[in-house]
Amino acid sequence: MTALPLLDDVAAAAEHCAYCPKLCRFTCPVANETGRESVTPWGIDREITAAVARGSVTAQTADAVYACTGCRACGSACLPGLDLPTHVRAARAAVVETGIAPEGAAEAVGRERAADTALLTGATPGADLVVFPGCASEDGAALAVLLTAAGIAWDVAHDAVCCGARSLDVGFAALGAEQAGRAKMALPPGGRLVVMDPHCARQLAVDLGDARVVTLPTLLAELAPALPLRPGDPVVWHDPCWLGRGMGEYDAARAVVLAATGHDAVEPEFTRDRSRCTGGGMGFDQVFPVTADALRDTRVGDLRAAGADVLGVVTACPNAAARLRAGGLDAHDLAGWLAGRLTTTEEPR
Amino acid sequence: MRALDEALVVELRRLVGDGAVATDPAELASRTRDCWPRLTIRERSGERLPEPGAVVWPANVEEAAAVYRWATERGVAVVPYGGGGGVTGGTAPLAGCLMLDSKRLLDLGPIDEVSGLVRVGAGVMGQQLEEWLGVRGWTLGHFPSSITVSSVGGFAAARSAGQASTKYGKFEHMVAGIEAVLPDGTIVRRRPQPASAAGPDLIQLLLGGEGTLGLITAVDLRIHPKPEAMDFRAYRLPSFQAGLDTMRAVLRRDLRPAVVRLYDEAETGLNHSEVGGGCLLVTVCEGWGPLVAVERRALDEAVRAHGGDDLGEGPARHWHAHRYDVSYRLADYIKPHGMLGEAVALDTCEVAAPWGLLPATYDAVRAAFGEVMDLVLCHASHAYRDGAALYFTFGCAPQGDEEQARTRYDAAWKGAMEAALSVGATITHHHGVGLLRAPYLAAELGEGGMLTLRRIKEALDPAGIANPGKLGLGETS
Repeated sequence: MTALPLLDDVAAAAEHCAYCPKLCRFTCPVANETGRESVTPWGIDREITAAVARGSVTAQTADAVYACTGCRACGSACLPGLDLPTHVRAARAAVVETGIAPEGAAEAVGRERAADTALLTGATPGADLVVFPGCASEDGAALAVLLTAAGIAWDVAHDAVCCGARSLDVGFAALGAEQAGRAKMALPPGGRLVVMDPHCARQLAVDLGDARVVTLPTLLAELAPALPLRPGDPVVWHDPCWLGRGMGEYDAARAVVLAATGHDAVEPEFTRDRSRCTGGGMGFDQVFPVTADALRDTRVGDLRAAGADVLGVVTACPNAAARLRAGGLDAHDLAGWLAGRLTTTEEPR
Repeated sequence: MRALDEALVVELRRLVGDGAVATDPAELASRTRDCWPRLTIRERSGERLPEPGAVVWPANVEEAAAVYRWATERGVAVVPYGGGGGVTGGTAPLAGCLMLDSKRLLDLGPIDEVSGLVRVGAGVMGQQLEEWLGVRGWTLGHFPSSITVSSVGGFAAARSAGQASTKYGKFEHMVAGIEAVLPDGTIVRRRPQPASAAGPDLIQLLLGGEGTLGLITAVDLRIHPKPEAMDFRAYRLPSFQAGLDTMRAVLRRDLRPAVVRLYDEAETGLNHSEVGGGCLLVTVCEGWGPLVAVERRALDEAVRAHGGDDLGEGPARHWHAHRYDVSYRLADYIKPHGMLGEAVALDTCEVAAPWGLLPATYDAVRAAFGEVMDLVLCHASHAYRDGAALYFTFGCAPQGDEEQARTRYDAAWKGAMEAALSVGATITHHHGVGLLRAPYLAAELGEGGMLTLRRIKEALDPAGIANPGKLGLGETS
């Protein structure tokens, strides 16, 4: 037990990191973009360790712990398996509790809004397959089209609007816990829970322990062979942080792309577990918008080098797709893109 | 040296722009030490280490030159910083100094495929470079265990060596051209050449300077096609001496296996008990297939001639797959409440000597560490036609007594350095001098050598602003 109870669960791991020779240094997008050492996982965990020793968080703590996109790249190079986003969440909670959260943090909390009406309209109450749209997805209508085309009945977790992940990410722990609790209570009893956003998928599967969780790419990989799809040009694939490093899923989406186009996904230089962050995770883009856009532009450059300007980009994260579009790419989330490839839909011009 | 104050920082911001200068407490607090265990021990025991007054990130060689010129005019100490993975205090700041971070010096490529050369900025990190080369079919062949945290500028500053140095050489052997900034702001450029007789070698003069002669901003590196063949094999030798003789026999045939890594009895027993005694020799041969086959044959023959056994490829493949793991385990030992208890001191020390002096070097340095340390391990891991490096791991666990940890740590280094010097070995093979070995450099270089170094320093850095105290040149605080 420390003087900062919110940090009790992460204090030992953070201290371990602070004594490591920062062997994940090369992976951190924020540290690479800024050159700063205080924003490396090591720098963040040093600040957390110092806060625990001091018994208080300060503006200096806040500066470090909000400078993380939660991209999990450091985890891919961490032999002890430390989970920096967990440390960051706990430290941000202490920062918020102390009343010194940086400007922008509150803007990034999870949104409470009704589930997508298209999904609601076609839903079959009590169906085995339950869709969790999350608060960020814009592709509900597309998923409804795909499920209908595949002849699969679905229900919608329309009362479970937000899983709490985004609120927990930015330090609003009480709100996040309340949202997560509400979501857990409101989830229908279906056999499989399809989660459209990979960050929500991890929150529900790992943090809330719901064994029914299936990611959208996994579901679509199952559906794709039976869908009437129009062969097409290859597309460039972007691995989202929380789907790849967060959920360990890399192959399902590639199977969808192959089924939909007849071509393997075009891989950028940084791909799979070395995929680079678009800068929008864990509220980073709200607190550090300039650096976030620089990260996005770096990723846009990777994807352009792979042919994105001609071929377009597909990903499986609504946030990443939106950020890549803002960076000038023709980027799509997987469900919407796949629905556009159905022979029953108009061919995109 | 003049500590940075508000007025000086304003000048600096005017020089390079606001976004290239940081003075916020979090960033300054992250710059108090590199990975030198002595600094870690001091920090662990509650000491507040000196912080720089500002961090600056020049975006190109011209900006770096402007910063150095300004620092010389103002008398402000400049301490360069790459990845912070050094282990000698080479980037330890003086209180209020200007820390110059090279991580925006990111030139990379294009690859000169005909010559096998590539231009790389000082700020590119080792692992990033190797991955970038790898997807283009090339390798630098530089694999230090710090590769994920260290930078090309750091490699150049400290004359780094990687685990495959027996084939690819140390970092200084990889540098064909250089761009550097001297402390007065002069920019020095040497175009890459395979060899040159144009006077003294300015490249080799600047390599190993550890920031005391200015900043290396970019290098042209000799690169290699990715190996078409790799061959792994481990052997057991009856003694450390038999293992050294085996390595020497292979090197004398002018063969260059990428890895020849011989563990002494103590390290074999502690970390490779499955070998069943003796000394483990791990080898990796790589490159052109026929040459790899010849190297393998030579190793097999030499091992047999020295009474060794073939252990198959398993232990060598295992080593290769886990070759960076040891660095990850460091925190387990040195953190508070670590696996070995409180106040643990743990470090490594690399020395080198000609083959003829290597046995005496091993005996002397090992004995010196053994005088004050609880643990002494050694392996020979960088071999040359004329000699090899010895890499010692040493530690003590004084049950929570931080003062004793520091005292024993200092005594161990003093004893080991004096022992190495007494038998004619060099005090460092690839970690460099920094603050750690500064007291012993004069004995290594001799009176004339140290005088030469001091005169070079005075000529290139008349104001003494370039990383003061490192290499024993200038003030330390």
